[in-house]
Amino acid sequence: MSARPAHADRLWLLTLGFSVWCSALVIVYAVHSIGCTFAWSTGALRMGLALTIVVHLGVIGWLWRNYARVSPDPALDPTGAFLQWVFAWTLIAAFITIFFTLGSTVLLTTCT
Amino acid sequence: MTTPTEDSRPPILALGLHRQLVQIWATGPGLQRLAAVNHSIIGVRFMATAFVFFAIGGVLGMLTRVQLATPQASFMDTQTYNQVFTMHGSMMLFLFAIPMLEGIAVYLTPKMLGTRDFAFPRLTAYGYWCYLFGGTILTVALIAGVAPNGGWFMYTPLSSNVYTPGINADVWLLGVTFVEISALTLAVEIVVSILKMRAPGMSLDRMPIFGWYMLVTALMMIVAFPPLILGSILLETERAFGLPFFDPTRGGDALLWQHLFWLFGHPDVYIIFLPMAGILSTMIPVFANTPLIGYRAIVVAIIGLAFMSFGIWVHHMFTVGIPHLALAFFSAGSAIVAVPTAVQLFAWLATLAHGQPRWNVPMLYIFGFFSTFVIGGLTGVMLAIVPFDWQAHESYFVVAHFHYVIGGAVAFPLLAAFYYWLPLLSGRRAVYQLSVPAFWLIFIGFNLTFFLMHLVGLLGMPRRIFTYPAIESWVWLNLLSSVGGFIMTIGFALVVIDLIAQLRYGRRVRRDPWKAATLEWAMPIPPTPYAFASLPRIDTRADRVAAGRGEGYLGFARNGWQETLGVHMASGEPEQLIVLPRQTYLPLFTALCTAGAVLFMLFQFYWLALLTAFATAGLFVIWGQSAGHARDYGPLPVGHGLSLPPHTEVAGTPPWLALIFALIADGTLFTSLVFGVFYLWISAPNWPPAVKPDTNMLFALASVAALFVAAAGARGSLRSLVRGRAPQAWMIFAAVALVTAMLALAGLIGNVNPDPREHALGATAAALLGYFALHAGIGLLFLLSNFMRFSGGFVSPRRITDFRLTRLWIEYTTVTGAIAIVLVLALPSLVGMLGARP
Repeated sequence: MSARPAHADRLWLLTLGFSVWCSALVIVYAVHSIGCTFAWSTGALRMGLALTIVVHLGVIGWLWRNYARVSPDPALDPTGAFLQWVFAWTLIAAFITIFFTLGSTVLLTTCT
Repeated sequence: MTTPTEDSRPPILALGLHRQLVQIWATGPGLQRLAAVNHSIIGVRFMATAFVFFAIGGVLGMLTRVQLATPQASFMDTQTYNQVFTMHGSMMLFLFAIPMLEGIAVYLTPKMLGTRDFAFPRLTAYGYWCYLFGGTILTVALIAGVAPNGGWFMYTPLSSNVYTPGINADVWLLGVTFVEISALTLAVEIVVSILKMRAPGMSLDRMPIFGWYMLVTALMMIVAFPPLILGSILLETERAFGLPFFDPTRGGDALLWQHLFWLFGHPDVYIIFLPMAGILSTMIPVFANTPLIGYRAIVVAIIGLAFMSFGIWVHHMFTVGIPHLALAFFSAGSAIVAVPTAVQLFAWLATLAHGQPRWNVPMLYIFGFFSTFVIGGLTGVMLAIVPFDWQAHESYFVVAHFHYVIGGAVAFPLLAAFYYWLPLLSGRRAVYQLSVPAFWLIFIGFNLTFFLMHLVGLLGMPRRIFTYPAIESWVWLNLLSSVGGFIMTIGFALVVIDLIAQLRYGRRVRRDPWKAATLEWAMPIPPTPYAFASLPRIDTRADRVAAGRGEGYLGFARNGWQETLGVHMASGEPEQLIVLPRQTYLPLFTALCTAGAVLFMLFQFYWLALLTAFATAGLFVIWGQSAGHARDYGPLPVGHGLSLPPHTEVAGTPPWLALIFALIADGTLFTSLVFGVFYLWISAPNWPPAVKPDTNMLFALASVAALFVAAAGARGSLRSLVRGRAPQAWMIFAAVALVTAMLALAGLIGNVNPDPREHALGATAAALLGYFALHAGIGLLFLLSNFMRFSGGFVSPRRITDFRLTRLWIEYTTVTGAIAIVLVLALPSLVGMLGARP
């Protein structure tokens, strides 16, 4: 009965992982468009794209380290544990999605 | 804020309580039905109206199949065919699929969540009337022969007034936007209701899975609809006033429309699919006789699906000339979106495998869903692969694909839901002699119609053609496809006959005929207007609740109030007593006024349109005058020895949450506008403009400064109110600042350079400034409402929601206004940078 009750703010955490993915996608698309329009060198453009992806993967890693663990915090009540579990798996899914969808940007030709 | 108290109320007999609650919650007879705000009534109206539009859209679909049954057919001429196929698509998506899911949500969600109604019953009614009037405008245009004729996607430049003169395209832009207002209002309402109005104890992990599906769907609607609303407004201003957002000859770009449209259009597929998946996740465990497997995994999957559906809009534009690199990541995203969908499919299959399934009519349709949706999903993955998409684009293969997805995702689950929940509405069972043949006719007809379209598409038949040459391989496939369409129609006709037979001759059912364990079956059949005589306490997952009687919360009537409970968003513990407004004609009158504004706009009576828009805003202010209480009550007993304050006297009240979500929608629209500015800057031809852009710095700074002053005024008035001082001086201060901001903005808009009608640069600057001015104007309405509410005694140091809402609105306006002004001031520099292009 001493379990810590779920805080309403935890609900917003559920959207964080994929928000990071959305941010990565939008910024990659924007950097790519701007780079191609202004004829950036392939190296600079590739660097900009790779940096965007790495930063976003880093944000996911930071969120994971500070807010999520797959094993529920024993101090949480069942609702808090449920939200934490969902949050952790949305982070895992978002990490894989960033990798899968945007990974090709460091390999393919840039502006053709 | 919760206080345990001794409830000294004498016990009330069940029948007596029923009579008292009916008197409070029931809608009156005769014309008073037009004042209905009850979720059961509005939900049924939504579903019935959506079915009527489905029937009309279905007839239009059949007309296209008659035309295409044989080569060189002369059943319809080109213009008629264009109107018919455009209206078929528009009706099925905007007037049937989305409103039907809204109707289901409105009718079922409060019941499944164990509450008595939605958070904003008047808004539900307003949403319905907007939908009805918007749909009627489109239907009347069809009868009058001036229906939209540019396809349900309204691509520019075809839909510009150069290539589509007349009002056909305007009917679509204004009519559909009108319907979208309805969708947005309901989306906000669904989110707030699910988060704040559940049965006591129904924490998020105990919420029925349908609640999760509807929550995610409504959140998607809040973000998905604004880009299309913005696109429609921009295109309408181009058509009506000549602002060239999409005209490449004047610095616009036709592809901007496609971006805005598909930013809505692709998520829309999932907005339609997810509620149906929620229905399946509710029904399959019932027929499998076992709880749903993978509840938590499904929650993760639908959150992922919601986000991914937004990130892949460009896969509808693979052939417009996007660089290969961008094609690659949008293609990868389009393929990976199949994963969360598959998680749900495997969870359903696992549930069926784990349980002991029993066959019944809903299960037949679930079987139909599995087979058709998997085919549609797989062809979707095929189309996600760019080389294949380039081959199949604009062919009948795409038509086949999306009919399998929409048919599989909507028609079959919807019919399953129809047979599953109709006993709840009618109290009777289906007549099985008709139900089973109806299913097989629909299933066979559907596959015959649409499967063959894959083949004719792969054989090279393009879509959107009103006739075709007598190529042997196309002829028989088209003929069979049309025959299949008629078979499917006969099946739907049987369903209608079955419905009539069920209502007339169906066997009466007892409560919970399917042995389900969700709360909607734990009430009398058909449901009473108050849904639950007392709100049940939930102590297990809410799709495992045993139907039965029990003493719950609010098992009494008080002051003639429509009472229900507001709960903590995560834990579901009760924290406020929500008193809902009674039935009123205001939603109808407001929707009529809105319809007037739309019609005046359509027929180019712009001053009258402006006048009716003001009247609509005025009616909304009047709405606010009857909400809440004119005195403080403090904690009131709600049962189980618990006392809670009314929602007017707490911080996390539903209107507060509603404004936050409304601002998320508004912010999405603003972000889409900013995206449009940058998109035109980087992609549109004929940039930079011949005239150098410039902005009056003094007016620009004055407008932003005035907004900051208004925000300080709003804060000051709230602070004064909380401290028990008179807030009027601060309110006047804020109002004067808002008027100053609007005057400065009017000066800016009047002097935009280049002229907004000459170049898209000027048009985008005018749009940004117009957005800012409109919000400042709405801020004035907030203040006006505050004045009236304060004078009427509806506001006190404990009842501060009105003032908090005003502060939030003005602060939002200040932030977005500052961004808009910075962007307008930065336009000359941005234009200067274009010189660096190779």
